Amino acid sequence: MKPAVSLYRQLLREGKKLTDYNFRMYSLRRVRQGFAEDASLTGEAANKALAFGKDQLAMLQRQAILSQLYPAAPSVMETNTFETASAEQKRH
Amino acid sequence: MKADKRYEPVTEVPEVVLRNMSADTVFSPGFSIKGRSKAGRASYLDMQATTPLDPRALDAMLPWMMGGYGNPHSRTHSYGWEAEGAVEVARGQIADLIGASPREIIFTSGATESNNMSVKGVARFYASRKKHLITTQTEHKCVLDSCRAMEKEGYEVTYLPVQTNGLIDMAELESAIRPDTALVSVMAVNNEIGVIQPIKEIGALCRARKVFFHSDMAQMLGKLRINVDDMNVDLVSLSSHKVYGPKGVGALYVRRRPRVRLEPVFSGGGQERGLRSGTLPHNLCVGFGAACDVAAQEMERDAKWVGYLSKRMLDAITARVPEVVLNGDPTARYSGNLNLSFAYVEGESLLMALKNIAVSSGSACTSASLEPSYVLRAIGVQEDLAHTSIRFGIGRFTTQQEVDFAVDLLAEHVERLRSMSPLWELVQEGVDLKTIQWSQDAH
Repeated sequence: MKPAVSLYRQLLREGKKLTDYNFRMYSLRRVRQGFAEDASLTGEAANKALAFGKDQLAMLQRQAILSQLYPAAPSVMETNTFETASAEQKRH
Repeated sequence: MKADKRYEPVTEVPEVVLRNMSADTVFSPGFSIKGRSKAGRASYLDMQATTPLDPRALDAMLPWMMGGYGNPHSRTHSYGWEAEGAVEVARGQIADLIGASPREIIFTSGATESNNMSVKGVARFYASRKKHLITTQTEHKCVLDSCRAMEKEGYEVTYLPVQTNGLIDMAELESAIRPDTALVSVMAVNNEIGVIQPIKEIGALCRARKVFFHSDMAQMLGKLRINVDDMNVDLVSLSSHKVYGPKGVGALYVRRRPRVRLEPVFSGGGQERGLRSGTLPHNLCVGFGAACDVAAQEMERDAKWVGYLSKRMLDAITARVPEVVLNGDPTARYSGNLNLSFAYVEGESLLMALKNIAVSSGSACTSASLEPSYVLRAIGVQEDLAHTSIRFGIGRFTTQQEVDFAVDLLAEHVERLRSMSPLWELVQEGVDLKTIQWSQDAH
């Protein structure tokens, strides 16, 4: 497998582990966009982009662990249930 | 329901009412929104109040919150040197983002402190020769309050009015400048309505008239290009938590050539070139620097994304909800801030119905009071419209689904509230509300 493809898959896999809805969606969007932008790079420029991606992967791995240690409460965008008045009361 | 401050009763609530409030029964179908809000953390659409800490900035900060705990001002050991090195890298990252030299960046606790330092510092330093300050009516509270404080110290202050689009009139500013004017302070992007003041023109005018120009660019940093030399600004207030950095840190740009001199507000150990004493929170400085570095890389992508979402939101709202007004200039604005007024809707009811999205009716500082915002009043928004204004803040981490969700909620609840509003009914019948004589005893 090409190193870029492998890096791409790893980045997406780590991004999916972020528990915060907004950070997760952003990381997926940003990784896809970044690879699309740099798809035509060759030689030195491509190596530079790959090195940057590897740094980002290391960061993402650390942040994915952190976000699982302190998981974010699910966003309203991820739930499909409606709040009943009594449930709301209990939460407060 | 104590946790939700909006529901906090002013007087004692009878027990039977409390029981009804927590019951699952819907007592008044058609009016009640009980059980209609979704479970989960509200979608965050209040990016002007604060932004989430970018994981990339957090990642840069963490080592300095663990092993690297040195005091950046310690000169006798490596703990201090390492911390100092990290702070200097951050200073460079911030300077790069605004086109300044690192030596012109002074770390502060945030934009409020930077604004206080600029207004009070310049005014006090030049107090023997200058006696006049100029600012605008739509500035942030901390600039206005600092100006009030200087009035007590014998300064005269001109509070420039703004036009109905929220922008200042350059001719008015020009005629307001006097020979004894020490400082002009105009914010770049307004925090409530998002309009962009003509900073470059103001800078050129101030430079020509030899008056110092201070600008609060907290809402502009990392979103729009800033170059302190192009803009001819002498002092710039910056804040970290508006660019996806940590809270509790900010910066003040102080021009060195031509030199701007300030009297420090804090006395102490003489850190930050004597302008701001106190040990630097080096982990926060690092986070701020990293956030600026990310902002520099991402500015174009962010601007495209925010612009796309903002247009999508505004188009959808105006297509689905009639009688909506966008406050502030339609073009000279930052797209991530949409301040909309929904006519004939009771504002508080609307905010309560929009429980699933985190929005505010203006700035966080004043959202606790029921007074309409002074910024909206300054641009001449009628009181009834000012009461129904909502500020939507879109940012780097906002998703398209969130925007669509917010639009759906708005369309549903504005229609619901209007359907029970007698005013809306009159308007639909073609009655001009201004012609109605509401009270019978008026002669």
